[in-house]
Amino acid sequence: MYSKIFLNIILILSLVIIQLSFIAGLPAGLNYLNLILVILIFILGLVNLNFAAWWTVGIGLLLDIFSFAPFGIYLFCLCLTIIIADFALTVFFTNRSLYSFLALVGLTTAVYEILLTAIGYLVWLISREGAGLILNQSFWLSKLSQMTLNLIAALIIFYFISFVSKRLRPVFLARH
Amino acid sequence: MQKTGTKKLAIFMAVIGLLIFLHITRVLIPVESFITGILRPLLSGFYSVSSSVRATYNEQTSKEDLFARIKQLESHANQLTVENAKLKMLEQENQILRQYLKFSAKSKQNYVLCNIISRGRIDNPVMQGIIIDRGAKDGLFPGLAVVSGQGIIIGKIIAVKNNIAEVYLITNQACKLAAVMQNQNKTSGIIQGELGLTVRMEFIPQTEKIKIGGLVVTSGLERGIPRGLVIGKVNQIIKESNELWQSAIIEPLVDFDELTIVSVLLP
Repeated sequence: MYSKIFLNIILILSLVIIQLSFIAGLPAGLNYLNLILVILIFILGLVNLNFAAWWTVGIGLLLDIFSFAPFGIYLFCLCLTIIIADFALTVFFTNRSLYSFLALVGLTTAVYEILLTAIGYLVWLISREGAGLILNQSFWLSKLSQMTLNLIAALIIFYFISFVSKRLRPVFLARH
Repeated sequence: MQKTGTKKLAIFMAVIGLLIFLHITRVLIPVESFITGILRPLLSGFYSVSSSVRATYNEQTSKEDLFARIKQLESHANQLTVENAKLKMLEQENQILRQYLKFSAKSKQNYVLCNIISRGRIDNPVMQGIIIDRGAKDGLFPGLAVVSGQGIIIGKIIAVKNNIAEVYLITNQACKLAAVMQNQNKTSGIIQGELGLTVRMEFIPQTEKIKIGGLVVTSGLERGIPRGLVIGKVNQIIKESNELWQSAIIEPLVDFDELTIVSVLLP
């Protein structure tokens, strides 16, 4: 029990460190990848909401600790995104196919980005500190790049999981 | 089934609410400090790896321009050697004059060396900023100048936490600095980042004569930012007869992509 909790804490810390320090510094637009969101969607799809919720709280808390945005923004946005993803998973994407995961990653990326941008803008409207929302070409390009990279990451992770485990392989019922 | 889902959702939201409450009441601050403190070396290590990947990538993509750049740098180095010789003479002269005038030797600027641990923001990677591994505990506060190894200003501190600080690079649209040109009239203006790539110097009177290639430095009019820190060189002059002011595009002298260690100048 405790070893499992410890292992999960280590994995959460590793994921946050990779996202904040490694991915953020990558060249050629690779820094737009939101690996955290993609991993959370796979956890939600492969395990359950309970497990994904604890991961979300852990990751959100760490992101808020290292962020200079008002505390709780990441926690709130990530949690709301996961709740919406869970709803979509139980209502619309009931099978665990590649297309389901891609659609889910696409949907959650859009939801997460809209939430973060909207809340960030609201905070700026109140505080008037830092840079406000600049909807220029580079903003839209960065969002498009993020969507593309997240989908590519989801594709790679899906095939990787299919290769190492049987959880995502299609099940055929044979008639005897 | 639906009841269980609502219950889970309520627990989920309660945990988030509790964490935010604990942060607001500052109960969580020691935990946050502990986590940032313990993870700083790891973050800095990962950033170094990422930075070397970026440097290799940039090196590969810019190889074509390398020869032209070498020639340009050679001629620049020659100019600098001559300039350096002149400055050394001036320094010696200055030292003698100071002794004569019984000036106390100016103490060297205090600074704090910092590792960069992250770039941009996860919600806005376009944001031209860095996060450094020193914070309020090390005496940092918003408004202090951040310089590269060569002493060129790269940005200023915007926000601090106990163990980390956020720096806006000079190319960030939200970063403004009081600057002065090193020309005869010491033209002053305000520099502001533009599109995350260059810097624009605004509010230069139309009557001022500015030259392309002229050096722009900090004016020292802001608290926490000393005078004379190099910002960049004038790359383009934008002058329109119907405007009250003219502006100049300043090219920063530092490649922000290659930075892994920076210094914060303390007052």
